[in-house]
Amino acid sequence: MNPLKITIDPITRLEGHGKIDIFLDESGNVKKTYFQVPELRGFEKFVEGRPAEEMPQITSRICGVCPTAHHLASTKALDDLYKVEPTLTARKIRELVNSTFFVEDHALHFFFLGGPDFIVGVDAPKGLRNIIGVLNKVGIEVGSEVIKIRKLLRELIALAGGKTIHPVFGLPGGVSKQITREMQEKFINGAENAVKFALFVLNCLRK
Amino acid sequence: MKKPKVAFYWCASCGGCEEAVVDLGEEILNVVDLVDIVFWPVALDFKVDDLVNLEEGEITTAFINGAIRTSEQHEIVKLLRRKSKFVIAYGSCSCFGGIPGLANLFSANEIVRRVYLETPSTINPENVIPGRGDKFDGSVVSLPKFYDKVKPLDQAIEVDYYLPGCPPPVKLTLEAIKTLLSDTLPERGSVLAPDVALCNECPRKETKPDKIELRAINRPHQVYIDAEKCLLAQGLLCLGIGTRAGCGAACINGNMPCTGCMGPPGNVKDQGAKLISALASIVSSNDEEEIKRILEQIPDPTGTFYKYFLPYSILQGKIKREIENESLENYD
Repeated sequence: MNPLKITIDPITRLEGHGKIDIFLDESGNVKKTYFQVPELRGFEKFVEGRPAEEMPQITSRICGVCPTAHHLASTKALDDLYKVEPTLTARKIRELVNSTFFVEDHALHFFFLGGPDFIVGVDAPKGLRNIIGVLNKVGIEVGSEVIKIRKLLRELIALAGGKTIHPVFGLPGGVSKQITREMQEKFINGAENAVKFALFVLNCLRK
Repeated sequence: MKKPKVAFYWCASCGGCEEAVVDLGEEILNVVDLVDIVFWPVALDFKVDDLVNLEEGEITTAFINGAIRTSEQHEIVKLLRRKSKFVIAYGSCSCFGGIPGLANLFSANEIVRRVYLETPSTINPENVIPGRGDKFDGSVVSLPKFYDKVKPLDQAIEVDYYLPGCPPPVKLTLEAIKTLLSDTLPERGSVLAPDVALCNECPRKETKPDKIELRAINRPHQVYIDAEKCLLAQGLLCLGIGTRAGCGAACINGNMPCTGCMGPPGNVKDQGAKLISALASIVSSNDEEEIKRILEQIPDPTGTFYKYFLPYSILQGKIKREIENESLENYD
């Protein structure tokens, strides 16, 4: 092995494939770096010929960690394509689902993906730099709160959007499913719990 | 007792299958108590070298999601096959090709050109396209080969079990893990999901007429969708009739038709062919012109009936016979 070459293969704790090759000089400074993301699937081509209204469901498969964002971006493109202004209700339902996603996705990023670096530390052994290491560090009480709130919020996305991973509710000018009074109450409860959770995490981090 | 070792890997995929594992929620803590996860790039920092250093067969089960699109994915799944007693094709991309499998309607050359040279948002004045690598300081830095066609996992390596779904449902994932850790293993080659059509578990099945009469085909944005009634009876192309159950009719609960992500039930070899034949039998007309008019309302039959299944189908994709004038030598 070339002692002046460092290879990181694969890059971990993110959605996607990646590899880095770093070449060093005699004094250990970086001479050249190659960063590759061989993630090509070809959405840009294979969406050609598919019906426009399928785009929210096809393009969400760009990323299954943030499918809601891709789903809604495509849905907005459909509004523009058909030149329809979504109704106020439809806009609120979309916003509601997106906000729910926003909170659970941040919890995922902070504890599962970034947490091992921020909470466990980059110098910790690699066997500990992961969600299990994070749970050991923050304690099972915090850990189970994280798991509970994500579960609650992700079930709400499925309630309104059909599925959490790859929702199906976006249509040009609107959404496919109504929000009933009962669903509304579940969302309000979810929102209140999410705020409580955020304050709880903030408190834990201050300690 | 030593805990069984488990690996998770992704190929041409979106990461949704990894999220599906994380969605085990509190159960994942129990799973972690029962097994040692030795490789899982989305969540753990183990590298390919760690995998290489394991003994042959040291991993009890490898869950591999995603389709095979590049030589790198092919190499890693071969490595995982050597190191693992059981390999599970996890998720529809791995089982059938999935959404990335729609790329089999185009050549690799067409895809690379579109992505790197042609899209409106591409700025690439020197027309750079990915090559095969570079040499630096006597070391080779290689880029994987972008295969001409997408393959399901079992066209690349031997697969022991299949768990379809986009993503696989949490309930089935949990059952699969428990089954594989038990002493009674299912028959090799089994699909770890119920072997019935989705209509059987659909909450709207009571509203499905004994004989559906398809007089018009409606697209979901063109009609008001009744939230209680059978979607196929409303003229929407709900593919539950030729799709395996197990998802709890999730899309239908979102008031949208099933698009077939679980693949076909066990007695069906080609999901698209089955769906086309099933639909043809319910078109309600004896007049050839009218039948033609009804069926022409399906704008994209291939993308509709083979949405997740193209690379696994009998035809596997589209092959163009004409010779292209400009060929990119690395992508032929």
